[in-house]
Amino acid sequence: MSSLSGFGGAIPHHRPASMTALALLADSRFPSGGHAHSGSAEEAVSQGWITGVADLERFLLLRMSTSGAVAAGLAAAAAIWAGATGATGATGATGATEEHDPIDRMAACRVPGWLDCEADARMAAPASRAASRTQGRLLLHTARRVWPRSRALEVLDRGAFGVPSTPSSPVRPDGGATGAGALGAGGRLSRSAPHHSLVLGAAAAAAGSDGHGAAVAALYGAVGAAATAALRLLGLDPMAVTSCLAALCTEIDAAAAAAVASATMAIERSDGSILPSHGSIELDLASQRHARKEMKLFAS
Amino acid sequence: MRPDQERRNTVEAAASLRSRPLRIGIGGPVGSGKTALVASLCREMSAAVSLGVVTNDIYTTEDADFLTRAGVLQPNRIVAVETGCCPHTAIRDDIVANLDALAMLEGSHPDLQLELVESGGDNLTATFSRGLVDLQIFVVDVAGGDKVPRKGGPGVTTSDLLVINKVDLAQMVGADLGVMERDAKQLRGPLPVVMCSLVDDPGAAAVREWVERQLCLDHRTDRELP
Repeated sequence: MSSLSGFGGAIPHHRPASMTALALLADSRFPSGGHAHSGSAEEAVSQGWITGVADLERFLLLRMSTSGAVAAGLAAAAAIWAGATGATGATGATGATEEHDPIDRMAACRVPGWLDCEADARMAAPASRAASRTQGRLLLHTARRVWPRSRALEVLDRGAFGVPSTPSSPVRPDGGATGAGALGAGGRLSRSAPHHSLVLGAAAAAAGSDGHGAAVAALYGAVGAAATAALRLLGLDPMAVTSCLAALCTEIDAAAAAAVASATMAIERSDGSILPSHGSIELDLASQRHARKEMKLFAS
Repeated sequence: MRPDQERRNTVEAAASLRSRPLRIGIGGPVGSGKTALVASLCREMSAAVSLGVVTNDIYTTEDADFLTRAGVLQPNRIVAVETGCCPHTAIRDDIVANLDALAMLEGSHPDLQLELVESGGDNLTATFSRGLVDLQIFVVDVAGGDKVPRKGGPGVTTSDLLVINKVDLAQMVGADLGVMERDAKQLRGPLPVVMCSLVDDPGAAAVREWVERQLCLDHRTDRELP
C-alpha cells in the first residue's frame, strides 16, 4: 500500500447527512452510464453461475462482500475527504469555505491520489479497473454539472489519474485507463479519470450526504447493477429480483457501517491499508473474460 | 468561385458561430436503414464537411464496424457506445456515455463541423434528448407496414426530419406510399417528410440536402447565412 501523509487530525462536522441526497445518488436513473454495466452478471449468466433467482441471490451476496465492500470503503473515504474539502466560494452548498477550511490544503490534495492507488491495488483484473475508470469519468461528468461548486469534484476533474490512453474504444480489455473526454473546465482532452468509487464519494458529499451514504450508494450500486442485468438477460421475475435485493438490506447496512469505520480510521491515520480489500479470483477472471468477448450486451 | 466552394465557405461561417459541431441524431426502429443512411451521408459529405459518427448498438460495435468496413469515413472518426441492453436509455435518459464519445471525437478532431449520433434500433417512442443532439432525423421504412406513420409516437410526430425509407419496396410489401406520406404530414404539420430509397438513389439526395441546409444555418436566428 502507498505511503500516506498529512491528512491526520480532526474531521470537521457538518449538517446531518441528507437521506434525500442518498436516494438521488442511488437511483438508477441518475445519469452516469451505469445502465451499460452488469457488474460481471452477464459473464456469470454465460458461465451458467446464474440461472435463476436462487443463484442470483448468492451472486449478489458475493458481489456485495467483495467489489461492493471495496467500493464502499473507498467511497466512504472519498466522501469524508470531500466533506472536509468543501465547496468553492463562500456561497457553496456544502462544507467549509476555503477561508475556514481546517484541513491542510496541500495534504488534502494528495488524498484522492492515494485513494485512487488503493482502488487500483484492490482491482486485480485490468478490465475491472478500466470499467471503474470509465464509470468514474461518466459520473464525474454529471456530478460536475449538478454540483458545480464542489471543490472535491473539481479536484477529481482536474487531477491526473490512471494511465492516459488514445481515444479509440470506451472500454479496453487491456485495462488502459479510458479516461476523461474534454470534461475538465479547460476543455482539454485527458483520457484519464479517477475510479468510480472516488467520484461517488465526492458526489455524495456534494449532494449533502456523508461517508455512510456514499458507502450505501456504492454497495447498492454494486448489487443493483448486477440484479438489473440478470433480470434483463434471463427474463427473471422482477418481484423475485427485488425480493433478493430487499433480503440484502441488513447485510448492506452492516457492510456500510464497517466500510465507514475503516474509512474513518484510514483517513485519520493516513493509512490506506485499513480500507476493505476483499476480492474474488473467480470474479476477476470473469471480468477479464467478459472484456475479451466480441458479442456482449453489457460493457462490463 | 465554384458553387461547392461557396457552400463550403457558408458551412465554415455557420460552424464558426457555434461553440461546437452541429449534432444530429438519427433514430428509428430496427432495420429501417439508419446505418445505411449514415454511411450514405458520410460517403457524400465527408469530402466537404469534417464529420464524426457515434453509434449506439446492442452488440457494441456492430454498426461502427459496418461503417468502418464501408470505408466511408476514417476509422478514428467513428466511436461506438455500449448501451447495456437498453439503447434508448443511452440516447434519452442517460446520455453521458454519448456526450463522452462526442467529447472524444472533438478532442481528436478539433475541426469537426458535423456529428451524427446513430441510435440503436428501437421502438417508435425512442427519441434523442435535446441535451445530446441539436436536431434529430427519424427513419421508418415501408416494409414495416404503411400504418407506421399513423401510429405516431414522438419520433414520427416531433423529429426535425422524418425519412420514409425503402420506398422501392412499397409494391412488394403492398404498402401505399400515398397513405404513408399523407398520415405523416397530417401528424407532423409543418415539419418536413422525405421519401427515400437508397437503392434508387444511393446518395440519399433529399436527406443530404436537408442536412446541408442545417449546416448553413446561423443557429442564432435559424436563417441561412448568405
